[in-house]
Amino acid sequence: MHDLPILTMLLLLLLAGAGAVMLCPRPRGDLVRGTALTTSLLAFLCSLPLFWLYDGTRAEPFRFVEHVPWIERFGIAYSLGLDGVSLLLVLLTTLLGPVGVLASWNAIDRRTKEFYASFLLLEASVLGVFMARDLVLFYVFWEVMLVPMFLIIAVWGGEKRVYAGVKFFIYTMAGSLLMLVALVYVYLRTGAQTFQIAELQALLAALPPERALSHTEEVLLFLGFAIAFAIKVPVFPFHTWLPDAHTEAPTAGSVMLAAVLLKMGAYGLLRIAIPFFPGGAEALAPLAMVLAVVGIIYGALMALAQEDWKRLIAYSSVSHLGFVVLGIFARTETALSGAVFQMLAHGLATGLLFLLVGSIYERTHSRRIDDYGGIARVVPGFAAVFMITVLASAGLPGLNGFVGEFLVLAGTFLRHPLAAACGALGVILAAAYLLTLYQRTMFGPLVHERHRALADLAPREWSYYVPLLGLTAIMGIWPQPFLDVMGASLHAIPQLVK
Amino acid sequence: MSWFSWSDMWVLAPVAIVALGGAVALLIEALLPRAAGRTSLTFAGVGTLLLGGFATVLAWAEPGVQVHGSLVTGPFAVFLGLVVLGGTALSVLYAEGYDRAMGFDVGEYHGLKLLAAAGMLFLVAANDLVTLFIAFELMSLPVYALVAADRRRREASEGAMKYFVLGAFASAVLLYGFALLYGATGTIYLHAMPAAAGAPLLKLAALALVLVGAAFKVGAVPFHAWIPDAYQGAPASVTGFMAVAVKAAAFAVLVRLLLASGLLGKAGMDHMVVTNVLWVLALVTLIVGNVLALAQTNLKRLLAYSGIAHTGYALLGVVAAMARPEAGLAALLYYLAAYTAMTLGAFAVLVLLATRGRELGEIEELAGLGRERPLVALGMTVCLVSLLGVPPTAGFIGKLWLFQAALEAGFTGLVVVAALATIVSIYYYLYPVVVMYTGTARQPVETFAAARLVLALAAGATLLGGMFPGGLYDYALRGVQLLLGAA
Repeated sequence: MHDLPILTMLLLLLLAGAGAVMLCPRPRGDLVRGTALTTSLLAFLCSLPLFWLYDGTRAEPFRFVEHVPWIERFGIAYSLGLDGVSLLLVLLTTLLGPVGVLASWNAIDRRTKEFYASFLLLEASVLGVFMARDLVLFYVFWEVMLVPMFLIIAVWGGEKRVYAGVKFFIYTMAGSLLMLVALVYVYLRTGAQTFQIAELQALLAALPPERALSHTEEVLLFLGFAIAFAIKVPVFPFHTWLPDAHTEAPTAGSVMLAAVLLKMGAYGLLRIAIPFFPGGAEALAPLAMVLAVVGIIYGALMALAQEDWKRLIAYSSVSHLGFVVLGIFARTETALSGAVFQMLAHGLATGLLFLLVGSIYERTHSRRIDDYGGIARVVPGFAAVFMITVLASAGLPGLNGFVGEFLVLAGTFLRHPLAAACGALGVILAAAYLLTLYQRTMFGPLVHERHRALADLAPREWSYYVPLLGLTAIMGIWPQPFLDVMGASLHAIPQLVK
Repeated sequence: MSWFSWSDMWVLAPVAIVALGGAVALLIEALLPRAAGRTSLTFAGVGTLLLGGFATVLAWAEPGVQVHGSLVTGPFAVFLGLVVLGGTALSVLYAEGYDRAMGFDVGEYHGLKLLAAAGMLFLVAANDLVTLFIAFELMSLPVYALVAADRRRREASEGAMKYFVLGAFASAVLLYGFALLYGATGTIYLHAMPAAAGAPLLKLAALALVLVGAAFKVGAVPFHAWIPDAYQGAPASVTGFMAVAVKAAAFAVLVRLLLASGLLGKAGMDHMVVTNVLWVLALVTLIVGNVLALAQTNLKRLLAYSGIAHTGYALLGVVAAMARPEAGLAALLYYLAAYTAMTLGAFAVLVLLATRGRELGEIEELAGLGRERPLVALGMTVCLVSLLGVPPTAGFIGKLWLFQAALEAGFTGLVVVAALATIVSIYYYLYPVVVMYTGTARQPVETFAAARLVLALAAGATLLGGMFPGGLYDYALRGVQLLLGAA
């Protein structure tokens, strides 16, 4: 089983699915959807065993390794592998694949083929980012992801879709071009004939004193990578693309963006920026933590002020991702585990929140919070799912949001009590804006008479809400297996700074 | 030394084949006017170019100075020769059907393209100033005429006139530079030019004039003013040809004179001056090309400014080569090949949408293409995304290597500017993609089969070049090493 190139198979499966979707005859929308669903379900089922096959106690960092030379002259290789953190993110991605397909079932009614092909391509490229062990390959997947995501926003999005799509593309690519310069610089500076992330990291750490990076170099290179990742996370003040992109994207696009794409930024910080340049990270950690805290509070305050349901959730992402950044830069083992756990928890909770907005938008075609109110009685199933999700997102103990935020704050408090204290404000604010949202939309008198006829969740919708809610609860009650998987992979990071 | 030898003829064969093909095409137009514009003529043209390509591979593979010192053969010349011949062949092929629809199916059209291609082929291998200049003119003169091929359109005449007047001026400047160069060094042979010439100022003046002439032809800012008008005035099938083949050949002049001759000593003052001038040219071209492209609404004009911007990227390779000749030139060669494929793909779309005697004008007219012609839209997307430099396309790999070479040579600031300039280009390359995949077509789209084939070939090459770039780069690098070794 370990010899199977299972990661490549996963990528090829999704690519083949995208190709098959394009070959379907256009009028057969059901065939298109069916093909996409089958592909994404198969991908999920293929990736699921990895969780049990992964043996966290073994010494070498990567499992399921594949290595094929690609451009030998420069030591660039098609090199895949998973460690604890990337394994969990891969599973999150493949889980949300079929969910995204199901959520788009009725919502996407034009250019269906192109949509599902883009969606599967997006899933494949995001998986590639998490799997890549070669820096150039990482960059390739990172950039390839832009095109399908851009199309999903700009073609199938809301009213300002083109603006939002182009803004998303420009922000992300602006960051990644600087990263490209930085990564070539690192390669030349180490003088290595390799782009392997782990080897470059070792080489950078072991440069002889006369060729060692100067402090300025290290800070600038760290910035070159970190800005690309910070834009993606997004860290305040690079977040302004996010509300537009999330709000305008179709439901499946918002789910993928919030649940997985944002995690690519945090993952890059963990995997590349900080391990490569611990000195640069050390120098800029205070700034990053201040920005993280500002992001937590600013995002929460902005969320409080929104009148658009989807935009509110988008700003809540800014706030929640602030915790992730805080945990990453606090660099205690507890805070790091918390950050990664929060990445997963946020992926599920915010994914669910966007799915819920999508469900209700499909029925009413309004995202204005004022248009709702009192619908809990009309759609009790929806209201129940929404309640659990809101509580998970607000960090209620027993659900997964609590574990991540608690670990981040506890781990940060040891070294930076002030930052942790300010960050904790965000938890309170989250409860405020989420419960206000719930109260305004679900309770009170019915605003529109026509909402009396709203249909409750359909079986298709239950089919993804139930597993996602179940996972939310499992992760909240029994987080240990997840923490075990990621534990060994995070172990080394706090020790990088002497 | 006898004036005739079979081995010389063998080396000259590639150029002779293409030139003869061009001449025959012109004669057919004169003698058998009814044959002009027929499909067979197109295929004969493409066949001639393929034959020329074969001959190039066979006759020029051996590195060395040939034909009494007039030509330098080897992988470098083969590489660039194949780029210009390939670019020409594709642009002859995609004109099939287009010229008839536009109402100017004249036979000279193919003949002139072939003659220009013969000039380019000569140019990439030329090793003395006289051959270089003759080749340069053989390339330039047919292109002036080609710009005006659709002579009933006023913009065509205007563009041709501007191009001709400025181009003739640039040729004169170049020639003046050659004359001074001969005066300063006492030889016309590039490989024999001494680094330490008797009169340093004279040599510097000569270099300045040569740089101006070459910068004009590659379209570097501030010598770019002719490009938008000439590109827009010319029929799309000619514009694509100018944008790729002429540019690649013009870069060959620059490279041969500055880097593959004994002219510039490694440490001399003139080396430093030229490096700095090229540095400034690259910087200004990158910024101006990308920023001005932002404002364009006409697709052809957009591609014209995009061509200027890409001259800037290619110049990055030349600058890098001043310090690190091997890495810089190999990256430049790869980039020129990639640029040829992706730009011709974009022009193929312009060509294939020109129906009913009218060319595609505004970008908005691409609306609905994604629905009407999904494969055409996909091909166009691949080419645009490659021009932007997104993997897994050849455009990305080309940029990666250019950046790498320039960083290795120590031009970190310039690379950062190039990266920032690329950010500007995101918008104007994405906008056509958005338009294609949204909106609805105002009329049913008819396309030409030949241009579709060219688009498929170009987009396919762009993707293949991005996914398996190793072999091509190694070949380019070997060519550069041999060339530098010979100089």
